[in-house]
Amino acid sequence: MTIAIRADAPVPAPRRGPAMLVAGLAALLGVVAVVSIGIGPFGIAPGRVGAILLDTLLGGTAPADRAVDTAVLLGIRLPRIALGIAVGAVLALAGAVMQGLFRNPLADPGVLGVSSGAAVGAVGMIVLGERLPDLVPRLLVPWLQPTAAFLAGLAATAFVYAVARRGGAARPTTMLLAGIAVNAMAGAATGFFTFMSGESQLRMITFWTMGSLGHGSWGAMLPALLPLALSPVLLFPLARRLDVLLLGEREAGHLGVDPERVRRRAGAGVALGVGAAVALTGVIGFVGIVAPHVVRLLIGPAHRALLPAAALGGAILLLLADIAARMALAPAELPIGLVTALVGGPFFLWLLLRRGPRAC
Amino acid sequence: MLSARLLRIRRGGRTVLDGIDLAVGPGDVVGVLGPNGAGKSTLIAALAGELVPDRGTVEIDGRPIGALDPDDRARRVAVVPQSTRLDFAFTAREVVALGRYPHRGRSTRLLDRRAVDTALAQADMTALAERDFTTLSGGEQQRCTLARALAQIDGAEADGQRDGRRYVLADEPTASLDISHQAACLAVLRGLAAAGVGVLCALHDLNLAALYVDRVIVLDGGRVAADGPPAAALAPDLLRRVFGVEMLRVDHPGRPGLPQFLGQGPMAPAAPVS
Repeated sequence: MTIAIRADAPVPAPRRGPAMLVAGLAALLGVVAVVSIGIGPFGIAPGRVGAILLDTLLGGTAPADRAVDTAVLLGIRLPRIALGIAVGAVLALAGAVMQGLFRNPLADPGVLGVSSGAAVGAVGMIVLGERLPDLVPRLLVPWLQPTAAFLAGLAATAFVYAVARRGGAARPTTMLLAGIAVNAMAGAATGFFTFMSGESQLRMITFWTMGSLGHGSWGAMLPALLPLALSPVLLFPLARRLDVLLLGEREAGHLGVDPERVRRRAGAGVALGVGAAVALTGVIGFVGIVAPHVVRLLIGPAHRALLPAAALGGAILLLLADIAARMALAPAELPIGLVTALVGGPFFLWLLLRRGPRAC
Repeated sequence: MLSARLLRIRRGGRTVLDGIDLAVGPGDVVGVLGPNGAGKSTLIAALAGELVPDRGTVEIDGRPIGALDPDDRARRVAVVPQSTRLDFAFTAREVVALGRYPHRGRSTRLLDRRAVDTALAQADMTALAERDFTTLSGGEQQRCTLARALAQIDGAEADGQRDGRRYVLADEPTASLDISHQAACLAVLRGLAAAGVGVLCALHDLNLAALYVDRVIVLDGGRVAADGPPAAALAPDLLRRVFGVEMLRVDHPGRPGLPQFLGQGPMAPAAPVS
């Protein structure tokens, strides 16, 4: 057996060109994004998309024959695509980090109830929020929903972790059952708010529980985009500590890593990202399982390559799901959460069965 | 010197260790024996700085182990656990390379790779280095874990600085190994001791202990029941008292003065020879 020694082998040495995979995924994301921008009830050819983007970047004014295209593209499509990329990336990143933290490839913000917990916060704000503005300074109102989603997501994360690792290391069965419990409780709370809601609130709640990228306008997204951007800042630097943590909590301690500190920071980063994502697009499941798993099959579990590659993969997945959601029943639009669940559900089942009875 | 003085550890309302006095010096190979539940694993956890003593102290070269910076402590004290469960497909080499984590920023890629290669070779894992850890047998995983500990205490740093004496604490490292790798594992630990590393190793096999260990500490109910060279510490009446078994103690035919122990089996003669 020959052992390849690479000149630049970092520690731990990744195997099949993670840098190439990241570059390839970034290129693929660019292609999917341009195609996706052009697709819709109002079609714009990819070449025309390129021309318009170039014009806008260079600060030129659009020629008259492109005015409508330009308005659709910049005002409707671009925010939607940007939202899809940001949310897909953060959901996949959150999934990869939770899998490392729980030492289990089945962990995911959706499965463990972080997403539905955050949805309780978001939906609660829809229903109760109308009564608050008198109490809260006007400037803070747009921040209420992302904040509520974050806090509810954080509570769900802390609860699942505390239950799953009661009496030592996190066990897969306990983890999944704790996720079921959180999802059930969150479902009850969301149901209660639905019951309380009026006609117009009901439509918004439906949107939040099934997910959609359709609400993107630059101004409305801002309060949630900040925490969404903060999440990777917290999570990416944890990469090597997550590698060490995969060996077990005691082993990590022996290597100088404090599991408690990693857990706190990861929990905050996941809750921030997922809370913001849910506030922006509602509950979109399974991106956090599918993207990291496919990346691990290609380049292994080392987090320094896994985290960026999974984030890119999640962005690509969500854009593809969005294309499917817009095309399937055009001109009507499917909730994107249905599409990801349709793909992710069977994928999750396959993962579970492949791991065999030992997994649970 | 890694030392415990009057150590008492309580866990879950039970006193697991009490009045432990021991020291592991550079070059020592100390074996810890005792029945299940005697406190061997707890002793290793306490010496690794993982548990806060309820009474007494654990000191490394005169400083309380809790006062050390975690990275500094990890570069000086490595623990080989009984087994490692991993659900993700790291290669054996990647697992060993995780042992270099506390050296980040002080070592170079070249030094890290050299440490990993050396550790893999010492644990006879070079041929399996690129294999997926989760597909290795229990014994191969254990050798990989030993290699990780070796890489962890490999102290050659970029600035040529060596920060103090190093210690390996191994919790039944031979439990899942075949006989040739049991011998190889203990030979590696002896080799480390020859290079100045202090080794403490929990063992179940009296014969391996007698063959490879300079000093034996027998734990019984959380207290030290015997401490000394194997020939003196492993006295038949002590073994009878601590383990509740009758062992036939003989001299090793090839190495006079070195005791070996034979089980009696179900048809034990009434009076064991001692």
